[in-house]
Amino acid sequence: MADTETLAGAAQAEDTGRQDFSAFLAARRGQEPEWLEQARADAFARFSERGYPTRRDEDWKYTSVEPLCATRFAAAPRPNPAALVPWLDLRGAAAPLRVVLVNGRFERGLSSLEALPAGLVVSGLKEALAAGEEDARALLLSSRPVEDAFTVLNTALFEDAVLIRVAAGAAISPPLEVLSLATTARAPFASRPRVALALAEGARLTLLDCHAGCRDDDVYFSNALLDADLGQGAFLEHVRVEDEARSAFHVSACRVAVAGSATYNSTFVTFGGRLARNRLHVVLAREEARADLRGLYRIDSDQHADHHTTIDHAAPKTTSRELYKGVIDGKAQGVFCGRILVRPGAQKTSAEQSNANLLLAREAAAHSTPQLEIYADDVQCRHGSTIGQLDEEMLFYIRSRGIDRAAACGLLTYAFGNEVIERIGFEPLRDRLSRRLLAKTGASRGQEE
Amino acid sequence: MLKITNLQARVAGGKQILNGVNLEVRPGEVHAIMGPNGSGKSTLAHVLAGREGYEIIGGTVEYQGQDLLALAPEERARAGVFLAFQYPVEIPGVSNMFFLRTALNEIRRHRGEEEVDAMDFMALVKKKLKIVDIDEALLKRPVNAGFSGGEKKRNEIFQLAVLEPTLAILDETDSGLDIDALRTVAWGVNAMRSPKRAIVMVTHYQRLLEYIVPDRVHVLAGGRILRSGGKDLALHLEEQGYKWVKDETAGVR
Repeated sequence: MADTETLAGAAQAEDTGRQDFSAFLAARRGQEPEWLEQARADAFARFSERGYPTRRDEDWKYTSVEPLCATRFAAAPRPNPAALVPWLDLRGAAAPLRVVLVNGRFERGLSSLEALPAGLVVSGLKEALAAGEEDARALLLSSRPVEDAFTVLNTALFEDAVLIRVAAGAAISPPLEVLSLATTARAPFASRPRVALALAEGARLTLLDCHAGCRDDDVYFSNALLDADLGQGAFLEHVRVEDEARSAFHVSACRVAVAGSATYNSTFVTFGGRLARNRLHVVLAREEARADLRGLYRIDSDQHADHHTTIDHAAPKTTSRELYKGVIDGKAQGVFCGRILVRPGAQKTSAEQSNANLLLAREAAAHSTPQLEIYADDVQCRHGSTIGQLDEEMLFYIRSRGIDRAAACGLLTYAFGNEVIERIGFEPLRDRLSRRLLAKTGASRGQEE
Repeated sequence: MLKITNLQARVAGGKQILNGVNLEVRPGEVHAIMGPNGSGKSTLAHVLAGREGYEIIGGTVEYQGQDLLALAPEERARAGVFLAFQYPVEIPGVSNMFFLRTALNEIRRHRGEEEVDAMDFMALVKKKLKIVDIDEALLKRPVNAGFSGGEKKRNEIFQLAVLEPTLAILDETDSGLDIDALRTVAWGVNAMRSPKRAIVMVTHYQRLLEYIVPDRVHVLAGGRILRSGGKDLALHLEEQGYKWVKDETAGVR
């Protein structure tokens, strides 16, 4: 029965989607180069062909997008930027260099880009197209190894994009924040934040990639996409904080290509959304490329957070480390699926993956699926996965010092999650995330007693 | 301050361990509760601190006029009860300093006192460090994680010194300590003696009592207090062992 409903829902979504898409294209005609219009049409055709995924797709086994398919999303509203100023520091990382996207549209007026360090260029879609179409095209639409319904949907319908370039050898400091803010609207709407990032040879950048809503009962669908290319010897510290409204849908993909001797470090922190699905695909394309992925999902009530990661060891002597942790309360569900692919010939690869989940309530659930596909023989690969509860001995010890159960749970949650958070170098953001972790929790347990 | 009357308790759904304990402790007093293994000493300490997993089947515990057994563990701590654990728990990821400041502030808040900030807390810690001779570096490490047995016990006494409870219960604080560590720990406990504070030490051996001289000694066996006396009772136990206790308990049963 569920399948019939899904199909009906998807078919309906597709019908309305087609009309929406035609209207979208018509409205933009003449404003965009032909190649972009063509790319959108191709992407939409591919989306129409495959439709939204169902739980019969292996990649979506534990995550249903039915509620998303069943919602009609209007075009994103255009609120008065001045009214949004107070939200920026509140919901973002409050970094001195900041790019702001509102409902997927770049707002230079709200951004803080007046004093860009040498070697860093940030532009919106229009500016990028005006500056040089070929360059923008290469950055936005170079072929990527992963494509799914949501990445093609983004390509078909993205309204704006932020293009970031770091010149060869430039070590950018301080960190660059990209805040994707979704606003309050009368009806559910879709926003498609898109960021393309290129680090030339030896370039270094810390990116604070924040996704947030304003009010928890705002219903919207953020379909985010980030593509990053790291040149030879480049270094990217990618901190991603998903703190969308509680009623929002967030489906994202980050596709990262890492060249020789380059390093990609990521810290994904997920708090928000009714449904969050974050896909991270990293290709270690040349020798000595390195990736260190960390993630933390902290969810409760009826939230669902799904992290799908792939690390593609496509060259010899590549290294990956991966640690994802989940803290799951209420009736929430956490999904982690970590794929490690070691291609033929990728000898001397070293890969370690670990996923640990902490369940704070009886009805909380975690699904953990490591997938190792190894086609080379001289490699070192390890993985581990755990699902556990708070230690009662620790809880009693903490309570015996005067700290109540809910605060003790918060303290232990913090201790559990801090291994992921502590790597964030930008202190104001790290502190704020720590405080979120420390908040009193485990209330559902307390009530039972 | 503490009045235990006919306290009976069992492991939840299991064996009865306390069979009617009577004990009264007044402010300023130091009591030692001694007894053979399995006599119920640690159970008594745990029941007083509010550990889950025990059922109270009879009797009362009155602490400063309150029904202690009706309070959650944290409420007991805020009311001034402190248990130094026999096996202090390791909490990876939470620094000693942060943990202890959080605890102190909880307690202060419930006393209606102002919270201490990180600076003031540091000053307080420096003062208390001298009491137990604990390495300052340990305080920055996660709570008890990777500490030696002696370091863990010292850390318990350090917490005692910072939290300044009204009633301190020391559960086998001497176990696993070499003589130097025992002296240090005892020195710390003695420094905490005050006319307003009571200390209850649970111990198997008389050794600790050479360094912390108790006002009263009680022999616990078979889940009840078999005999009470002055500090000489401990010496008597040292000479004769616990055999006579077992004989007497057998007779009582």
